[in-house]
Amino acid sequence: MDQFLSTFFNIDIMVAILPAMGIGLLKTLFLSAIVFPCSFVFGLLISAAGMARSRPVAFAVRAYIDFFRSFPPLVLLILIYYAAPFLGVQLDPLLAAFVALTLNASSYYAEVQRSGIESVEIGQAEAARSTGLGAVDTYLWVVLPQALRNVMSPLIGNTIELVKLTAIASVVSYSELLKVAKEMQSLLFSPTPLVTAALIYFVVLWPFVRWLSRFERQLMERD
Amino acid sequence: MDDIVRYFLNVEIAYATLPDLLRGFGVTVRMAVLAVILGIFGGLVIATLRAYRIPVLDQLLVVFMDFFRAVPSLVVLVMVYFGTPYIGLLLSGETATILGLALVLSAYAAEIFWTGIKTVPLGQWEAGLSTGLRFTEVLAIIVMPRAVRMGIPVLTNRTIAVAKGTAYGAIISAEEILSVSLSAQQTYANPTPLVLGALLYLLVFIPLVQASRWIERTYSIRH
Amino acid sequence: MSETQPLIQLRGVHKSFGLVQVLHGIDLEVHKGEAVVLIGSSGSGKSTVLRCMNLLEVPSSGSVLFSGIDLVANGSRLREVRGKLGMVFQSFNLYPHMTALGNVALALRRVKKLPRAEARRVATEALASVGLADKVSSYPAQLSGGQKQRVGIARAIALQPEAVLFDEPTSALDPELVGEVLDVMMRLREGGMTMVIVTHELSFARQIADRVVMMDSGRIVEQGPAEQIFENPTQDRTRQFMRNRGK
Repeated sequence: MDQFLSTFFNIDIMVAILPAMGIGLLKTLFLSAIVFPCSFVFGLLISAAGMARSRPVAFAVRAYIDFFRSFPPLVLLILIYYAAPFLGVQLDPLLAAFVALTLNASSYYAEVQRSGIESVEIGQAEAARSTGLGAVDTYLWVVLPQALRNVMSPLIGNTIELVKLTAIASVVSYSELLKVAKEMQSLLFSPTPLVTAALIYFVVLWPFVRWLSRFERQLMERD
Repeated sequence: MDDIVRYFLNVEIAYATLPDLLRGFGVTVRMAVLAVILGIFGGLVIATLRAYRIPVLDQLLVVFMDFFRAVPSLVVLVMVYFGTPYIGLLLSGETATILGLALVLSAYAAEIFWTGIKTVPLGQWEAGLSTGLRFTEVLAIIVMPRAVRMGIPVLTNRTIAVAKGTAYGAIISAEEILSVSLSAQQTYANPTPLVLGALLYLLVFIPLVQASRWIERTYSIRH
Repeated sequence: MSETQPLIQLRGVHKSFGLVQVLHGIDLEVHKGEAVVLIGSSGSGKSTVLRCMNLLEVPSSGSVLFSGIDLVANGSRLREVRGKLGMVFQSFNLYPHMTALGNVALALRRVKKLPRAEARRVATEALASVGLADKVSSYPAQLSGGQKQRVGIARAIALQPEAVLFDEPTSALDPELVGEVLDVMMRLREGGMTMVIVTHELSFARQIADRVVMMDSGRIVEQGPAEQIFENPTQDRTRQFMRNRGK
């Protein structure tokens, strides 16, 4: 047992690597922080476009969403990162990760936002339009607030997944938490750094996961 | 334009690498199927165990479920692959991938099934027990089928997400699509294999995403 | 234009939903200052006629005019016209995420472009005029059905419309709450507002209407002064309708 602990939960190592892991965590959070707003807003634009009456546009939106939901994000990232040089562009790992994660996350957000908008009853838009509100104002002030409130739980769920997904950036050498952990692991010949990284993810995300369970329970109970 | 074809759609290279890629495809599918089966089965077991509310075990199961939903799949896979040698287990990349993904999926599935169990009205339990059925019988015959049925739409989404994690196997030496594409890309200094690999992934996942949407729709209306 | 130009005019309006034709050639005029009530059984098309007036339903053929402006042809003026034509809905359609004040003020700020303080003032006045001065900060969920509908009326009249359309305003209310809404509508009428009302409340219709329009199966059966329609209907269908309702 002692040996198990000192191998996987070695306190000395944990303390020693903590500063480096801290910086890794910051980079994880930074990447999440820049991808979230961009993919969320992009998702709004896509889901709004999906409401268009024109058949080809609605189809294109559906295709975009299905495409990026089906594409494993790691493969997308690697494709972007390794293929770009052949197009004459040298991509910074952070930028490649940003693009890949935004494309992926925006499709998930768009899907959730779309179902949120559909959940708002049509009478709301009718009332707004009947007072002379234009399409944009109706969407911004009446429909969207209600739509987002209705799909809070999947939105939060997607955001948690987004933060976890930043781990793939380690593959293209962006020094976020996992990358630092792997480096430490090979440097120190110990699995403790990996365990520490897992624990840090757990500590950071656990409150949100718990909160989400409670939300999802309410959702299923409502049905 | 010629450059793009030569680099990304190079027919000769595609032809040359196709056999390896198809073998990788087989590995991907195999890993996905096994991980999904084990994961869902594991989730059922955990949810069932939780129904018995055994004191210490229940707490441990909760921690298990929270842990594997808060930690990114890639981190779990890396931990399994690099950590198990330290307890005397030498797993192949493929096995580690299957095991890691199964652990993650079982945590999500357990949460989904457990929520399903909890939302079955108390009246159902009372009806069953009052006719002399034992707890286990009520659970198995009356409650679980309902719980599983309620969880199917949510579960399909989650299952696909985890299945896409087979791509992470490339990082821990599983010889699946991505890993084969990457080495081919390095051998030929040409990203066509990556493009081909991406297409193979889409071939697997686009139908799955369509199917899941169909499943969601079918299982949401009836109850 | 002649001074007897009607405020609202439907000419030859047909409306189909898919294969089902709901309106067959409706010709209807509403003059300024009039209170017109549409009556008829469910499915007669009266709500559809009302909703054509502010183009919430677009006619399959025919024209809808407001102050002489053809609404179907002049899509760009539709917003402007809607600001002058208020609507009150059967299911209230209040915005649940805003207070009563917020509900009334939204169009004042975004359509009339009033500054925030001014919008608040106008909205508060409108709510006071329907008897809800003490409920300005309440959310729809905290209000009774009758109060919600009165907020709906305040929302419509705050924009100082030239006419207000009422689509079965009391049908979704518990009986004891109907009176407060009808009172507000009557006061509005006494203030001279042009109103078009679809309702099942026949005694109220009789009190408030200048003109009653009886509809059946998507056609206007007959129309005339309230007294005449209720006392001496000329058409069998109208007589039958009145009889069925114990008139």
